[in-house]
Amino acid sequence: MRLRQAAAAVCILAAVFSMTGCWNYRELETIAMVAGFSIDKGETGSGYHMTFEVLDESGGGGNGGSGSPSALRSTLIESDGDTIFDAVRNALKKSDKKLYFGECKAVILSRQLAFEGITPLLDWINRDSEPRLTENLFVSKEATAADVLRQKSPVNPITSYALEKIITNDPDFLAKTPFMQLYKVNGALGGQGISLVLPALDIGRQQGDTPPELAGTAVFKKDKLLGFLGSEESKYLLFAQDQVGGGVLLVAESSDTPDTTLEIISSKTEITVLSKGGSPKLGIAVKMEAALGETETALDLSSESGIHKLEQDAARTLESRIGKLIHKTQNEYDSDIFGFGNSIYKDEPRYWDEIAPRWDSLFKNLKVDISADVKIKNTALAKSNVKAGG
Amino acid sequence: MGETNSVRPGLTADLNSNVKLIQSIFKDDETLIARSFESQFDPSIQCCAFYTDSMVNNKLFNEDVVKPIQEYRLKRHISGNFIDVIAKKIMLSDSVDKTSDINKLIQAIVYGDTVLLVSGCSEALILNTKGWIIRGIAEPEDEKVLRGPREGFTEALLVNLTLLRRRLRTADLKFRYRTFGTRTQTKGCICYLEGVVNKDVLAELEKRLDKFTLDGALDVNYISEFICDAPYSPVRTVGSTERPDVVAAKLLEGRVALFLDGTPVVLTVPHLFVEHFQSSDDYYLNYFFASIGRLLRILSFFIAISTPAVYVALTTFHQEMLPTPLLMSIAMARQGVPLPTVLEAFVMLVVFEILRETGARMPSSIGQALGILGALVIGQAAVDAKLVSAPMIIVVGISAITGLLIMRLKGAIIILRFLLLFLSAAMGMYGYIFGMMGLLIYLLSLRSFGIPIVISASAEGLQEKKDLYVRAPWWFMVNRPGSLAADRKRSGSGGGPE
Repeated sequence: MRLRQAAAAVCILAAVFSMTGCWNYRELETIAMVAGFSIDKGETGSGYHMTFEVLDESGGGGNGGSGSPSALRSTLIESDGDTIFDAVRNALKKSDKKLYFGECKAVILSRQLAFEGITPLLDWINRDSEPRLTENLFVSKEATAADVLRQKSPVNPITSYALEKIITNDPDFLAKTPFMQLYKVNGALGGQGISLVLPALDIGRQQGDTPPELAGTAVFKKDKLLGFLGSEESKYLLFAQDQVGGGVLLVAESSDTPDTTLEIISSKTEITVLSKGGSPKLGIAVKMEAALGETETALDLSSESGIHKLEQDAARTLESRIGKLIHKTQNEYDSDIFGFGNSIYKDEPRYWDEIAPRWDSLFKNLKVDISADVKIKNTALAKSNVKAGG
Repeated sequence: MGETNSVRPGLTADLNSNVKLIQSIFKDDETLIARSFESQFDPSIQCCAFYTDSMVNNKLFNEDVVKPIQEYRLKRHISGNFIDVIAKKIMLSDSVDKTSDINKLIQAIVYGDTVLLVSGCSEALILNTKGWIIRGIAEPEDEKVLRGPREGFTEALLVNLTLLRRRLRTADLKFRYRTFGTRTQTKGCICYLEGVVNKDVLAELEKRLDKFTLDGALDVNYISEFICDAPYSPVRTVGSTERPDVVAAKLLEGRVALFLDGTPVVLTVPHLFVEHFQSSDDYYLNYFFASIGRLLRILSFFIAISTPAVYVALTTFHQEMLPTPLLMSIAMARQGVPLPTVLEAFVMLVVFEILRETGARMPSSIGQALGILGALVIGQAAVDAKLVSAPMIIVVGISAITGLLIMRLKGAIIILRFLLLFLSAAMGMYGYIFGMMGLLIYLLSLRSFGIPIVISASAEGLQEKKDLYVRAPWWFMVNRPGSLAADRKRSGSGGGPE
């Protein structure tokens, strides 16, 4: 009996040790943590040129000195390969530490590759076990993606992490760029009636420095880049997509140029199918609550009608800008970046099955009713602006 | 009485031969005092008293044994047994036993009593003159309380029994003497509350105590290792305490206590796992405060056994589970450290165990040196010299401090900590979780005197959980813990919030 028990215990223990899945013991000093990377076309015209931003664990080059490691720094490793994975492994020609992608937060794709199609680029990132589905994807507006990654961000020493924070803050405070993580990109690429958009990056100019900055939206059809939208246009794209959680809305009250700024408290967009049949019609209803943040003209804030006028103006601005953007998209890009098809698919799945094959041509002539409802929740205590001259 | 129980000649009517007999038994024992005296009124009444030096109260001996014989107008009566007359009419002592059993006489002499031999009598008197020096009643070092009773048991059995009796003034409190140790003849006492005690546990305890013999019992642990259910287990299944109030509380819950002469530690059975985390403070302080304390102790147990294992698993297998800034600072701290993380953890834990053991063994006067060496050399200098990484010092420190919080589980904690560390080193988080599941299954399988030691954790109903993870208010604890007590009702209705 004892012998049988012992034998059973040995069998169970043996099974335990052999069923551990990925046995992946690695000491921290044997891995180089990749904060972000960029993918460019190979210099010979084929293959890929990758640039990895790697965290520098030596702590600011302190030469073996004792005590506290100073601030984080990063270094760049560049490598070429015929495939993405080949290029990743080729980095080991230069690095004595294996690249580790578990902490990778930003992937910058070059414009050139994006024009040719991004699906081949994403396969390894999706397939490998280390990179996360929450990585942020960007498209570089500059000549190469590596150019952007090479710039230093003004506040954060790690460019990739700075970009990640900037794009994460965007929906809540800025709302001028779509916030797209890898899983959302996968969803858009495989989804019904929606086209992919990605945040675009370029190199900003400021005195003595060239930090990377957000530069609107990259518009795709299927997986191929078509062109870019500016920051201001991107805001109205986000309104149509119901992605706005904050930011500001500019309204022109007394002249043609914007002179009043509303801070968006909350915004909700609903897309409804108004009519079906040969030419479908959609309705977009935006409900926004805002606070008056700044005004450069004299507004009548003491009466309800004054505030009401401001609400009306803001609503009209929203309606016309969204309409203008839809019109531009229909004519220039012919790509359903708003996900109108997807809305039909969700609300009327049978109808969508009918029109799905013709959706490209239908989208071009799609009629959209836009209505906006803006509520000003507060205007702060100041009744009027400071008057000059007195 | 063991091997000394060889056939000895009994007492005779001749005083001289009796004296010689006893002196021959105690040959080479110079602490034996033989005091000869006689009545001043009848010189034929010769007496000899035997006692062990400094184990008797000399005043008692003089007043109760010598004085009555010397000063009483004693005449050797014809009628009646003369030794009975002395026992009944002359002796002032509170306890007088008449016997001719030579072994009983020997026992009495070595236990501080006086044996009185009288000429012409073949029987002897045993007189209570016990009076040795004992340590005073003090608060136990490792069971201190913030507020509440501060008495602790001493090494004297009878003093201990009075400390308990004073708390349970009922005839239901039963004391049953037992002798342990064939050579030491140590007195022990089983205590329980009639009507409350679980009869099965009591019978089982007596059965187990009957099963073994041992040479000497100097502490209850000698006995506890014979009677516990799982002798190989690092988790104890027999409880121990030095506080009379704790013993009283345990008896009130239906447990049985075992006292042993010569040690202030008292065994209580059955002993549930949760008792490791209970403290007498829990019952004397406000129940919110007490409950927080108990939750902290349970949490500390898990932290103590887990921290090194989880740290090793996270930093060598599952880097993706750590937030980036934390991972970076650990990676930076590990730059240039020669040992792999597992070995680093192992070495530091061993160093800590050595420090702890040193602290417990060395005289307190050199404690300062240890503190400085431990803090500076092992801590700061080792990190500066890149022998160990700073996070490892923190991990081992947290594990060590939380481990010391539950002193009664320290043996189990050390073993479990190393076991989980090796499982983590081999299999990462999978190994750690595997180990924790194994621990849980093992604990569930343990019994203390037939009662599962973690049953109340799975028991149904709030009444069973009232004194487990938290200490419920007294007015809520209406019943005694299930499976322990025969009489479940602890208090009547009433009290508490209306």
